[in-house]
Amino acid sequence: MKRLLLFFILLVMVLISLFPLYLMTITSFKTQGSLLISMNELWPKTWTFQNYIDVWQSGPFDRYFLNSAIVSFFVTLGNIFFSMMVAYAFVRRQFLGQKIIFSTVLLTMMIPAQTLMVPMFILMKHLGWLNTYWALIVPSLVMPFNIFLLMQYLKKMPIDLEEAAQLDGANSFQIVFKIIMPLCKPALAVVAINTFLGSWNTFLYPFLLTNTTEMRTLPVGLALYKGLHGVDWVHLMAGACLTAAPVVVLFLVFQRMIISGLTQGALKE
Amino acid sequence: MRQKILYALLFMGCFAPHVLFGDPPQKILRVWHFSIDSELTPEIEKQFEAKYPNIDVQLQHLSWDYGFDKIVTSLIAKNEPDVFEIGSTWGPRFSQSGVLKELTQDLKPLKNDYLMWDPVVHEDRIYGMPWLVGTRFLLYNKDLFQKANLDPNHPPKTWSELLYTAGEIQKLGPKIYGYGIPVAEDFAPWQAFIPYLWNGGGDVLTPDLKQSALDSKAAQNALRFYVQLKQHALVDRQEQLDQLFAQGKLGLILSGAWNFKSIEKNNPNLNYGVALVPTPTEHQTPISFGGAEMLVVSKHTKVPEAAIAFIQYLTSYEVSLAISKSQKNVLPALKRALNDPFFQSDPRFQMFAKQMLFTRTTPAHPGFFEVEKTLSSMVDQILLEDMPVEKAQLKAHTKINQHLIVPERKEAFTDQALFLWMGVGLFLMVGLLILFRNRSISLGAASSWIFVSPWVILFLAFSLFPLLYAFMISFTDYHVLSSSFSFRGLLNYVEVLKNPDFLHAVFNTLVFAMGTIPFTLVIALVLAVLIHQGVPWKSFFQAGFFLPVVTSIIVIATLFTYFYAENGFLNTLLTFLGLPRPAPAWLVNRDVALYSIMAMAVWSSSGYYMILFLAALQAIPKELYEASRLDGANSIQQFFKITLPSLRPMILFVVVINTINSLQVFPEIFTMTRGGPARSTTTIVYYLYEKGFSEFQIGSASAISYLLAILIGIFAYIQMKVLKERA
Repeated sequence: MKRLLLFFILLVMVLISLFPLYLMTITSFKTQGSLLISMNELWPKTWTFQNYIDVWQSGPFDRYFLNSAIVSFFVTLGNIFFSMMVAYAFVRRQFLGQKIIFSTVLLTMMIPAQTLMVPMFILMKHLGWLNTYWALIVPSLVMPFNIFLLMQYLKKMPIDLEEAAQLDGANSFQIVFKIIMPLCKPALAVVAINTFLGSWNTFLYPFLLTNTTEMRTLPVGLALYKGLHGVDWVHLMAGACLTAAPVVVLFLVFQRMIISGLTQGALKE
Repeated sequence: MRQKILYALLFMGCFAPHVLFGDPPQKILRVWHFSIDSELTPEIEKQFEAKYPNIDVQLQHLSWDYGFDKIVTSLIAKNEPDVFEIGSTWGPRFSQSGVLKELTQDLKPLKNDYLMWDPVVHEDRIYGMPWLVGTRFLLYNKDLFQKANLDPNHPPKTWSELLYTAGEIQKLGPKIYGYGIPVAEDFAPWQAFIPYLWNGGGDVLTPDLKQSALDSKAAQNALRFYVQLKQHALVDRQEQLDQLFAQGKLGLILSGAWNFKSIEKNNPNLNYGVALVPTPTEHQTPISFGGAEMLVVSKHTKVPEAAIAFIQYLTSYEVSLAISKSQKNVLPALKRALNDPFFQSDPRFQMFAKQMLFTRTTPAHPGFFEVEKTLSSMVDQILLEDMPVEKAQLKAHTKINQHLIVPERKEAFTDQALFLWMGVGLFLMVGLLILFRNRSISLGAASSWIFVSPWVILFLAFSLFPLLYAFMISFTDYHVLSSSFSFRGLLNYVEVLKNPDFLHAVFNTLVFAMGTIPFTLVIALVLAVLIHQGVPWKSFFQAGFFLPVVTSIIVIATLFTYFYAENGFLNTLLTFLGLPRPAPAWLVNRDVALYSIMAMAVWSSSGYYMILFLAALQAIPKELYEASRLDGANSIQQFFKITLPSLRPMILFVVVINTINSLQVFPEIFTMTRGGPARSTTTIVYYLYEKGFSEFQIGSASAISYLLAILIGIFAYIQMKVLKERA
């Protein structure tokens, strides 16, 4: 009985949580004409796929998709390896300036990206990276949050294994990549998924640092589409669905892994 | 053999591409525009390229939301396009900034043939060319006129007629509005009000453009009339008003020609007419606000001839008329084209063209850009905050006088000097570090340094450099477009801290953080505990709550703009349930706009923290619960004695992360409300953005970013202390 009650409470809550996304999805299938009469119908009488076709044709959404995928992939890959290396050095090693360098990690976490817009832009210009993948990937290759997360995980890990490996003659790199990394898999999964989602959804810098349609990512494409189409809700919702769909599908496919990764990893503080 | 051919081809491809791919590369002409619809673009490119085969035109369509920022950042980086379009309100600022190419020689002969040159003329030099023009006029719904027993062929000509007409229509029903007044934006509110000011005999500035003229009796009367009109009007954002007019729910509106096409598309049966702007008395010239789209050429263009040729092509009779005909929202600036039979054929367009002849545009003062915002917020304050007319008027008057002071610029340093300073600073820092290092710590193994190098390199390049850069310019009057500056000490900080707008932004940000964090925390915790109890469909619930988290904030902001709209889902639901709804609608209502966005933030982020809590719950050893059960503890006692204490580190983590995120809230605001209405959703970061990118005060913007960093630091520190001591 108690179980059943619990189940229904959760069911109601999850429906509330999913409802806006549902509204977005069905609105994207409504026809423009029917919108005026029945904008808030929960189940459209006539369905149309035309909005998606219109949106897809109005801008190269396939290209946006590709750009988002390329940027997110490399940023994720970089974070997995580099954050691991950095976190390892902070936890297991002692070296000159360690404290200062570590405090830079904390400091960076607290500076809003918006603060650095102008200097970042000028820097990218001097590097000749404007409107290239470099500008979108390189600054995000190691993110302080990931370093932090892996450090928490590493601190709880027994040191014995490393010492044993050292006695067996393994060098530092072998220790990090062959021994520590496999042991950190759950935490690395959290890093990977956090980074991927963050990178896929990021808006500000891709918007500022790219100029041409060929280099835009999905959120930028959608925002510009919104700017051009005002309150044309059916098309806007179709664009929003297109932007959200890849991550949602990815999430639903890897859901078990993502959540178990988060579950096992996030807690080792 | 095959391989050799492949190598040869590759070699040729690298060093002599034209052998492989034909003609030598053409000259590229980059053009950024706002005004050409995508259907017309290919034809326009094709025809021009047919005339000038050695020029490759690359048109890019900018949106009004982001286009201006995009142009400014590209000017800063000196990679702006060769030709770009600017609105007339930006004209004075751009013409006087030294970033545009002077076009006097090429364009002077055309001066009598086109309307609206003022914004791009500075000291008799011409910096751009008027291309397309538009104005505001009265649109009125004939069906509603008939329903209210008014004569649909006699739209109101005077203010008193307007008031009467709007009142009669307002009486028709609860969802029918007499008139529409735009608010809660930077431009629409003042542009829709200014015809009343002008026709009432007032003005914003004195004729010499040196002082505000807003303290006049005429201005007071115009504002008072506006307040009277509000009683029979819906006060909302322009977009929303236009949409309601198209749906036949609004009797009269002072709006623009952009409505023609959207009405045709969304509600072609709407029976509406177009009339001139009403005036206080009869037989008066009805003046309206006019705007123009200007085409300008970058000073740094490498293809000036092509740029001028393209401007002349776009502003020609054929092309500008073709744009006007196809889009039906603009008129050509070319006077001759206004006599084209096309404009006489449609009574609405005829009236549009007629009103166009009685327009005034923005005065050519570089500070007017800020004056516009002040005017809009004056309208907002009177209509949304019910501030007394005299008070709002006086406030705006004082503020405008401040905007009109153009600061004199003295000694100027350049970027190079700044880089040098920073180099010296960095060298000193490293030197000090090595000198005063703790002798007990060695330099460390080489591998340690290799391990941290990715962070160190990226930090130096993409955090420390921009940080120091921003720090340095927070003490200067950094001039964006010329990259030069002079030092002004702590003045930026003092000015920012004294500015009530900044304090308001801090207040809003704190409300946002304090208001969202407890809700997010409790909801996430409750969900996690419930799911952890062991329910069927566990992964379904997890996924359901987590889904909003994986959705891009831009998607969410787009979705909720729709959700909160006047005729959006939420209002429909409330009406259905018979509950009251806020007027004006959620995002344009200064009392609830911020809370609406906060609710959205709670909705979109709770799932993430829920997963973190769930993780923490699963890490609590089961034995603890079993042991306590043997001791006779019930589940509530278990929650407070075991669960909550075990979750303490995670709660700390969640609160800190959540605080940092909340204090930096920006994309939501930027996409949904742009800080309005009446600054009620302006957060610190939005204020920073506004200072930096629309007011060009990079120095002040940098000062704000440092103040924000300090605030975040204080909060994070207090929370860590408090939560640690509790345990």
